[in-house]
Amino acid sequence: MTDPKIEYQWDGTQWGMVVDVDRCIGCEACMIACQSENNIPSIGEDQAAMGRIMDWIHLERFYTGEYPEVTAEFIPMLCQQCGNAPCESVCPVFASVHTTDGLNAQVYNRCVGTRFCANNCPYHVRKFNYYPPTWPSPLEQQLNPDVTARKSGVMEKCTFCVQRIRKGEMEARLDGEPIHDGQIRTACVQSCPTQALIFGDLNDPDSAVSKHARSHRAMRVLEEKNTDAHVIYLRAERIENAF
Amino acid sequence: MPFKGEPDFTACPLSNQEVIDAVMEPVGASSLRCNIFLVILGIIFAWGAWKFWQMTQLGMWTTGLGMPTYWGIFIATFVFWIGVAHAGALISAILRITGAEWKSVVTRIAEVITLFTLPAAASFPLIHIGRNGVFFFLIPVPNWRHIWPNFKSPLLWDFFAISTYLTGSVLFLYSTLIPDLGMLRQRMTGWKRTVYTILSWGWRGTQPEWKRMKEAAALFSVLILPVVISVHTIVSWDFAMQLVPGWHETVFGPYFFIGALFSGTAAVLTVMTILRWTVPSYRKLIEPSHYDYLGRMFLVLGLAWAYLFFNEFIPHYYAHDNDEMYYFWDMAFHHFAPLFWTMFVTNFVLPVICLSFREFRMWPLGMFLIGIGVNIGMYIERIIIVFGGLQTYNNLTRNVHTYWPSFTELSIVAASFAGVILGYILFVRVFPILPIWELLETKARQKIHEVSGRKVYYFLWGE
Repeated sequence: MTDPKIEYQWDGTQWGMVVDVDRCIGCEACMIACQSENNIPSIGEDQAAMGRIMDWIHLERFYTGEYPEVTAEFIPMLCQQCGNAPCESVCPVFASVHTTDGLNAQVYNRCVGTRFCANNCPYHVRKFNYYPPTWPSPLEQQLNPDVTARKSGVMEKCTFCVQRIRKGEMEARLDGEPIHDGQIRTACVQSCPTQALIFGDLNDPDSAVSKHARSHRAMRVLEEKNTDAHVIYLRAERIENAF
Repeated sequence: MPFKGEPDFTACPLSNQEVIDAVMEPVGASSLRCNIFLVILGIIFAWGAWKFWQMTQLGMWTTGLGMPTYWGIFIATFVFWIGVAHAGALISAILRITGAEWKSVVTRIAEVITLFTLPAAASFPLIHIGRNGVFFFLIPVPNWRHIWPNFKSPLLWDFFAISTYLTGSVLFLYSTLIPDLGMLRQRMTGWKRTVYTILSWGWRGTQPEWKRMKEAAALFSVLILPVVISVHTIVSWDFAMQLVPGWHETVFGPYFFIGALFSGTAAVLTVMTILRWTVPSYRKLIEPSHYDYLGRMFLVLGLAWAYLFFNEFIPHYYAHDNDEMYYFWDMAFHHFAPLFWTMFVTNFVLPVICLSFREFRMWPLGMFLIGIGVNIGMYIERIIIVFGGLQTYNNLTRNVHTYWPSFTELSIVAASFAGVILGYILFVRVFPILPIWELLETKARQKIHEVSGRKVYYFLWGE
């Protein structure tokens, strides 16, 4: 994954994900898992049609073929946790920052809501809170106490389930052992029925993610933007030119 | 350059006292019509302020924004006001430095435009942000957590550029206003006299006072130039530093800067003409020759703007980048076509054709209409850049929303226009809008000689 255009290489933990497009069946279980894990508010159909939908992971659909033989390709699209993130350089208040383990973090209580980062994100995965967070009736009973609710007027996005990463780190520290590969799983990875999503440390050469990332099918979405994304997609081999 | 045997420029033919009386006419005056107009403006402003308060309480859903249009009419209006604000300092600074003798009528009209439009512009990024209460996170204040703003962000450069420009232009305006305030003090009695005495810092008109004032004005006109150029360049970097098609362009710095001068000059022409219509005595002071000179400058700026406007598209066409080509197609022939071609006519076709004729340039009504047209065109240009760029930013499949400004947004924008006009009218009623001392100075410096039957006009330099 060495890119000559990127001068800085991080040697510590680099959390990353591999998405096997061939395995994705478009069931959207990851979207529901993410919503319940991360306390993502529900805003209703009308507001979703206005482009205010709050999902941190969604499915991009690409159709190929002429009418009766139409095939859809699904690409789960989430924050790419870019190493060279366009959102970080434009935030005037450091609400969008890089952590030491390679995550692209969003500091909610620092965010003033300029929406500069959302404009600059080529993947359109940053979501703005137009409303104070609300949930339809039974859903407010299942909120995750590990995740803070975001107030109206701040930007939010996929955190790679940072609460699970921190919990895993703490457990590993208590046990006095390093974090095993596969010990930490994000909500979407955990819920994927076909195991299309794999999560792990990209800087560890023996982890499942980095093995997959070395595959001949590995590619990154919108690589020409030089974002150094840490979500690696395994190209669908069934259909040519899916991207 | 003498034209048809006429002098290049002649100072106002009135006597000194007549000039002073003419300029002072609107100061302290009031009329029923004007008061009703002020009340209407005040109501619009108050309504917009109420809508803004409502927006801060309810949340940003009261706007029409949605993915992928995260920036809307607030940012377009911000850029527009910054552009108009360039009228002030730059026009008066350039004319002061180059020693154009016709400047005295234009300078303060332009500077006061800056005085009111720049705060209007500066307020829009703060209105636009999601959490208005914590805007001070943008200000680098030392704090116990050692959290500083991100100095790499163009928005932060904006903050510094605008605050520097506002400070500089207010001081520039005020330094040249002091002698007139001193003159005004002599005409006032009672508490008004006290107020003007304080405002004029007890100006007595001694030689050292004049010397200091003139030094300050000369210094400001030089120092303000780099600030002015940097302000709009930095505003353009808000866009040019992003990946959005139609924004990510190196030409944006000069393009925005020239566009700002263009719309600023248009604003000066508009205000000049309105003053000429509403204050009868100003017809003797603001003459068609002033329109002619300003019109020449306007024509040059219009051509420069047109060059940069076409230049924006040519590299895209050569590169044939998909996103950029789609952006251009969407702008010129699809969603934004009516706006685009209106802008093309009002900003390029009409000004360039009309302003090429001296007869047209000497016609105040025509110049007023061209000025209004150019400012409408420049507003459209900002709208196209802001919304058009974002709505065509379509890397993936999920580009769902077409932006249309909501009633709340339009109310707030209307309030900013009402506020600027309100402030301007109040300024005209409290302070002299034409610089009396500069008009008199120009008169005093003008010398006329008879050479073989023809009159030769020239101006003496120095004290």
